[in-house]
Amino acid sequence: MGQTERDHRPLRTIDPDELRACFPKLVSGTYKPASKATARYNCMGFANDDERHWWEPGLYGGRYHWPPTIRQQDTLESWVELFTSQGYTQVEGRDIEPGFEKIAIFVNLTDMSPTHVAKSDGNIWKSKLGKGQDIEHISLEVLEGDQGDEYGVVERVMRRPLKRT
Amino acid sequence: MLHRPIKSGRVRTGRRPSKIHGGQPVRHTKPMDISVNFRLFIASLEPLPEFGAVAAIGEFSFADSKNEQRKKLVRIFYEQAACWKAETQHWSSVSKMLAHPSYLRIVGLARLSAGNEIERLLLQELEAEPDYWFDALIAITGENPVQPEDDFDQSVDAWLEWGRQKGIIAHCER
Repeated sequence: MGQTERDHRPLRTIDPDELRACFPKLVSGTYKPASKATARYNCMGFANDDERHWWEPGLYGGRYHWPPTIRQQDTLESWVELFTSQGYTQVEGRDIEPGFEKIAIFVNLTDMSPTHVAKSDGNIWKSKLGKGQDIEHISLEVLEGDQGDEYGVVERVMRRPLKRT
Repeated sequence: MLHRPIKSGRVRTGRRPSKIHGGQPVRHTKPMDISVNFRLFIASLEPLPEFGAVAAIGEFSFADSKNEQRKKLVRIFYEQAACWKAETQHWSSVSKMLAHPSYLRIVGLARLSAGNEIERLLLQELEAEPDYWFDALIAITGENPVQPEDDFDQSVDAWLEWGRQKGIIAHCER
């Protein structure tokens, strides 16, 4: 194979009306698009600052990643284990805290399986919506619910001190 | 044996009744009416249509069934691909995406596909909007040109290059 063809076309980034049909609480003023849609990485990759890999357990190949020391299961426990290994500890508060990085794990209420993780850098919540775009959102509530593609409820919030650069 | 019609519409068989029935004359009490469509027996002098011209008539389902099958394949592919993309676009699990009914339906379309059509559709889709079509391509072709260490973009490149080398999709200028 010759030179790698980088910069493939992104996935189609859906417009605000389409996004609202999927997440009814994402109305104007509650969020801001922060990227184009891409299937390269998911919310878990985004929460771990990796925009080149899709983080998911049990998948084989260079386009996927999951730390080998974490159990190879797509469960709340394994997601918590992963973030614990990154220095996060569980907290109660869902609000943004200056000076702390936070992650919030959403679960499906039917089977308690993890559906999404959002992250905060101490200023605002950020999410990668599956294969869709990254967004900045004012709260966790805007992605909670069971309408359309909403991610269920936030089951676990964790934080770690913000690294100083 | 062809019957030759007579003016009255009766049929003359050319055989004498006395010979058939042992010398006893047999009379039909009522003449039989037989209508014959002569056009059925007149061979057309028109030359046969050239090979491939029959499909243009458009009435003979046996003649354009291949074309119809291809159209059906393309229609179902785009319907299912659109459904799959819409319903899985915000999922964080590739494993769940690959188990979506529309994805499985697309893999199943291989049985309707002729001349690498399903591979062509998947590769065109992969080029236009790179997505997780890799496993469908592996399932359909039985091949995997992706190296274990290849990331997402390299996986896309490997499949597109595979398609070009096989002549399934066109080479493009870059």
